[in-house]
Amino acid sequence: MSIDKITTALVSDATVQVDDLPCALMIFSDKGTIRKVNQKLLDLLGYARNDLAEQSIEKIFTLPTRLFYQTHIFPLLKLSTAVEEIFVQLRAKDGTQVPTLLYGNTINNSGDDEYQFIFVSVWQRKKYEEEIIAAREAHEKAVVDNKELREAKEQLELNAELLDRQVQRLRQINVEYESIGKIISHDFQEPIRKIGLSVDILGRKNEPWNKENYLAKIQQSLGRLQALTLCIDQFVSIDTTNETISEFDVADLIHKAVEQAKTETGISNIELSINVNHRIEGYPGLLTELFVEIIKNSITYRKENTVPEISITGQIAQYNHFRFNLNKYKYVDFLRLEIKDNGKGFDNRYKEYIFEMFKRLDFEQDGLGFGLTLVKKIVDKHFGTITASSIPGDGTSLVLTLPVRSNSDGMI
Amino acid sequence: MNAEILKRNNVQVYGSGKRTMVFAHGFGCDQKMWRFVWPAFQDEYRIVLFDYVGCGGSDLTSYNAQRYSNLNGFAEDILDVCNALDIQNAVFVGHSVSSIIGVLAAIKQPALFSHLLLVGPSAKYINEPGYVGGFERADIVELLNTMEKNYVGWANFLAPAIMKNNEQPELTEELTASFCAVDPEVARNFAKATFFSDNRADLANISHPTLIMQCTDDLIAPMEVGEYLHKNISNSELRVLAATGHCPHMSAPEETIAVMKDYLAKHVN
Repeated sequence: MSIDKITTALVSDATVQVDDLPCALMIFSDKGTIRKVNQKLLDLLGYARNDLAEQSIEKIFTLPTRLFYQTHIFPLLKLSTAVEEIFVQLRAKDGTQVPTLLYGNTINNSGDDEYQFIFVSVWQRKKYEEEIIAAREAHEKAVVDNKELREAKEQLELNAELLDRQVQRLRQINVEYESIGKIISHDFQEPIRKIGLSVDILGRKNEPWNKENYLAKIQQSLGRLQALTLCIDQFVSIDTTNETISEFDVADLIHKAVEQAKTETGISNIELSINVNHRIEGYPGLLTELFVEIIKNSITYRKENTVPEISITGQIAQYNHFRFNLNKYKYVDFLRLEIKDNGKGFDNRYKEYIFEMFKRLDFEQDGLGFGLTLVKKIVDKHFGTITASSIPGDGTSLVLTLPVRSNSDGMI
Repeated sequence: MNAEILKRNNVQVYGSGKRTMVFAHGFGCDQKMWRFVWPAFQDEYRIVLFDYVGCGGSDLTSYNAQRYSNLNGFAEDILDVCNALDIQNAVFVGHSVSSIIGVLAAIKQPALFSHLLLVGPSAKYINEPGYVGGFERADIVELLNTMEKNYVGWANFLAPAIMKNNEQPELTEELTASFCAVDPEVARNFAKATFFSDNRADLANISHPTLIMQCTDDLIAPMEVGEYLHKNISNSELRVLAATGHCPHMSAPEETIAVMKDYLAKHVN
């Protein structure tokens, strides 16, 4: 159909000049170049025909309209071939804004897609809409400005955060309580049973017993009980630490932990790469302990005849600090640490098991299976997360997230 | 849980490839934006398409204003979808704001993606001294107003009911399934989360090979922005497309596909 004339179906020989139409009309190419406009459009915007010929359609859009065109109107036009009843502001030649309703569709002009838009000015409608929006904004502002309401809301939000923390803590304590229960009924019972048996035998008269042998067994079991008790004590003392929260440099803390781990393991030849340039708040003493345990693990479970390599990188990422209440979101900065080694690794099936108390995978090495339990406990204390993944023979990767800022009430 | 996520985000999986390509749509529409592009990759890749909660065919009852007022909330949608499908080492393709949303997801779970293909990305839309984003704050406020006015007591132009399409009946089904439909609150929050975001600090945390696809004359992501991203994403390549505007995947799908294929041929074994 030609832009110049519209033939009506009702009156077969009558034609309508598009310039006479009571709406603005614009035809443009797939590339957004204006092909044709009618007189009404020129009048509405104060342009001469030559001003717009072969120009970009965006010339007659205000900046927000251009944005809206790119994000909404163009995709809609492209996918559905027609758009209707869209409110857009046009930009007149003198810079004034012209409120219009836009209708558009796609036409095929000898193989090429073309688009035609009509604009109807809506000065009155705009006035009503502005009134409606102003009324709504006034209402919203009244709600926001209501001091009591605002304070109550802020208090509610704080309480929600506190509640979330407390529920998390409670859940952690429940899990710990359960695992300590299991330890008392199992791990502690075994050496006690052995001692009882030895004492029993030692007490029998006329038995051809080897006294030294049974005393040694008692000694050994007592040693085991002592070690377990020390672990439990260490575990529980994390909750009752006297340490206060402070801000510190994480790389400094890691370097300190590395030295300690070297001393404790007696192995000082390790390849270390630390790429962490962040300061966070937390319990520096506990976090040093955490890194000592992690680095000791990498050293202890190194591959035979290889120098342990450990790389630690830190990045800031935002995570939701609500964990319990699934409908609450507040994204805050966390330090995300990735700790990789070139050790023996383990089967990924055990990636959660390794954090349980006194659970061990490698029986070639001495150990109680307590290090990672302590690590997990310290992470929990900071309301962080820790996950492990590993490829046997390739090494282990730990991802640790710790909040950058602690809450003022000490519940990190 | 997984089935819930797939339904929640209206996840569609096509193609038969061994590797996966995840397409993430930008602000203003939904996964259908990709329909001129993804079929070109379906022989080599398993194609994953989804809608963010609040957009397209997603489950609107799962919408949470707190979550989706922050781009990290959208990034969680990507993580949820990828984890539900057990995706590893996929090629990520994001348009517009989804480029940064993909970057945020990649920082949190680097192993999900092998490469990032970003169409018209920007790390910050609003200008500030020493940085060209393309917009002043007032422009964005005006955009929000324009959106508002399309929702006030008037037929909501984005609503499905008015999207009659008798000429192309094959499109009817997807249109009645609410095409680009958005609730005003959802649209407003998405627009604010998008245009008021500043993710420049996150760029240094990306080490994935990254393709930045920069359009010519893109109002929303001008050339300076593409160059800024290229400078600040260590392992990135900048390709300037002849296509103009902000939606080359719709206005110039052939060129978009060719640039993507060219990059993948060079970087993916």
